[in-house]
Parts: sequence; C-alpha cells; structure tokens
Amino acid sequence: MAYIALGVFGLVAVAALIYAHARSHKLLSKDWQELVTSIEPMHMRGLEMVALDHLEPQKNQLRLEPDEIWGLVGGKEGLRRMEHNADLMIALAAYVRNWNHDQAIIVAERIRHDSIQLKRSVRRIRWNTHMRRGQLRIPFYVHQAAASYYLMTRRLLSLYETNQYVLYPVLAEAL
Amino acid sequence: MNVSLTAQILWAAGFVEHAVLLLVLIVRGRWRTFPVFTVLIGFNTFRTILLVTLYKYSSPKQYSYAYWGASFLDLALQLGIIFELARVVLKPTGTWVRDAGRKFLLYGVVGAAVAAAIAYAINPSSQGLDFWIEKGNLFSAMVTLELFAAMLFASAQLGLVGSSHVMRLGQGWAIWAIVDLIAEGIYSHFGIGWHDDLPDTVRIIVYQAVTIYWIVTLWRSEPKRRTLSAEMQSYLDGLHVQLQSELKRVSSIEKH
Repeated sequence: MAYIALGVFGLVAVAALIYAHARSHKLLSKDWQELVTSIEPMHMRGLEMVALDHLEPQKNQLRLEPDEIWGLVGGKEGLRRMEHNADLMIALAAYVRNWNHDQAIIVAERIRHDSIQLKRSVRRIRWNTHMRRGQLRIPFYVHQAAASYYLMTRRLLSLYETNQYVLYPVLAEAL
Repeated sequence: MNVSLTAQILWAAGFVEHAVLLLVLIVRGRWRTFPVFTVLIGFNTFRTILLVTLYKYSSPKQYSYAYWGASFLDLALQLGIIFELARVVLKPTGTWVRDAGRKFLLYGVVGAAVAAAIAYAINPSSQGLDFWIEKGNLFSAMVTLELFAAMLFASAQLGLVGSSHVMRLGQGWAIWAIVDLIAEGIYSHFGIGWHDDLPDTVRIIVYQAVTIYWIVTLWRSEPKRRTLSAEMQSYLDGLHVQLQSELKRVSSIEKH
C-alpha cells in the first residue's frame, strides 16, 4: 500500500513537471503573430459595460441585473475565453521587452496581477455554480472577472500604443 | 579496498565533468546568477577527489564518515538550489510575484508532509542502520522531486517563464530527481545491492548526462532579445509623427 502511495506521489510530481514544461514551451515557442491569432474574440462592448459598472460606479449603479451581467460577459464560454486570453496577454506584454525592457516588465507584472484576480474570480464562479451555493455572490465575482480582464486589455493596448504603434492596430483588432 | 573498473571510470568521468562545469560557471560568469549551484558543483569536484583518496588509502570507517557527511551537505545544497531557482523564476523584478511565494510554500509544505508520511509508512527490506538510511534517502528523493515540481508548477500557473538558463537547470534537476526517486524505490523494496547496484549505476550515468547538458547549455549565451535597429526605430518615429500631423489636419478639415 505504501509503495502504491510512493508511485502515485511520483506520478503526480511528474505530471506537474510535464504540465509546467508544456505550458512554458507553449508560451515561449509562439511568435508575436501566433500569439495574436490565438486570442479568442470577446464581446468587448458588453464586457466594458460590466467592467465600468464595477470600476466607475454611477448614480444608477444597480441598473444591471445579474442575468444581464452574465449575458454581457458571454456566460460560461466568455469566462473560458477570458482565462484563455489572459496567459496570451501576459506573453504579449512580455514580448514588448524586445523594445522597452523596463516598462514591459512592470506592465507584464500588473497584467499578471490582474490575471491572478481574474482566474480566482472565475474559479469561485465555477465552484459556486458547481456546488449550487452562494448564488448571490456569483454576480460580484463576474463583476471582478470582467473588471480584471478589462484592465488587462487596457494596460496591454496602452503599452503597445506607446511602444509599438505599428503592431497596435493588429492587437486592438484581435482584442 | 578494491574498486571495480566501472566504478573507476564513473568516478573519473564525474570528476572531469564537475571540473569542466565549474570552469564554465566561473569563466562565463554564471556564478553571479547561480551562486549556490556553483558552490555545489565546486563541492562535488572536491568531494570526488576526497572520497577516491579515502577509499584507496583509509579505513572503511573513515570513508563512511566522509561519505555520509558529504551526503548531508550535498542534500542541504540541493535544497538550496531549489530556492535559488525559485528566487530567479518567481522574483523576476526583485520582489516575489504576488501569490508566487505563497503558492510555492503551500505546495512545498503539503508535498513534504505527504513525503514524510509515505517514508514513515514504507518498511525497507534492509535491516539495522541501513533500514533508517533507506527511509531517509527515500524521503530526501521525494522532497527534492516534489519541491522542483512545486516550483515549476507554481511558476507555470502564474504565467512566469524563466530565462533559458534557469529553465534548463531546472529541467536537468527534475530528470535526475525522477531517476533518483525510482532508484530509491527499487532499493527500498528489493534491498541494497539489487542486480549488482544497477539502479545506482543508471542514476550516476543519468546525472553525468545531465551534467554534460548543463555544461553545453550554460556555456551558450541566452537567446538575445530582439531589438529594432536605430534606423528602423527612427523611421517608425518619423512615420508616427507624420501620421499624427496628417490626422490632425484631416480632423480640422472635417470640423470646418
């Protein structure tokens, strides 16, 4: 029994190593064009509405209903796309190191912070949905996820606007 | 004491590889990024000379003391390397990336606790002192492997990709740690000396192959960051200024 546990321990460690290797290889092996074409399109207008509702509260800040918020971010598919695009955005920010090392590192760090916040919110939404509990909290997490994603896109676009205005329109189009 | 020809070849090869790797670390200035790794390689170079001399000219007891003393120091330095690699990967701007340190610590502590429980539950086939030594070896092999896995997993989860050198160093350690765990598992179950110490021979050969890999990879320079030439940058700046002024002109025409 103890040897089975040892085997499982080894297999879990090897699986973690393979995952880490595959993930870093995926990000390192892609060139700029591949990174941009891998971005999955989002309904940015809807997402922006939800994000600004959270980031810049107005007098009528309760105007968006939970169902409406869920629909505007694209539901489950929207959350999956946000998660998928988050890693690509970090890689795209890091890519600017080729032209502006200091700024790119700092912006990439900020985007990474937003990405952690986004993934945490998405995890909580999935967990609460799966466990069929905390239904009241889900709209709050959706708000947080949308705000984090929105901030990531704004930071990335501003970085490219300052350093790579030739590539900026292509990126803006993809996002 | 008699030493087999295979052991002599492996010893000699190990010494040469460690000495060359140490030279590469110093000559190419890699010791600045990896000081603990450099100390370990220097220590291993010295250890080989010391152990061969003691094996040939001293008593088995003296050799045993030196062997185990060096092994403990080796383990401490190995753990130090894991934290050194974590520092390079998880602190790209000099401070811990938010959540990185916590994630690494959480995975590390949980993994070490599981490793301790497994090592405690396993009863190696050897007797007496060897019984406890084997348990200790098994635990250290599990902890080394799981800390490497925890560090690389945490960095991948946070989208952190280290430089080429640190990733190659980590890959080499990870491969060796996997083989080390398999070898210790076999010894624990079948007893020390299984099939003329075949697992140990395989482990040494894998370690030497990894050392050669490090020599090559640390000698090579990191891939250069792509930069725009000064002419191209100036051309793009000019183009941008021109576009801005034309855009303003078009806007002012539209207003009129």
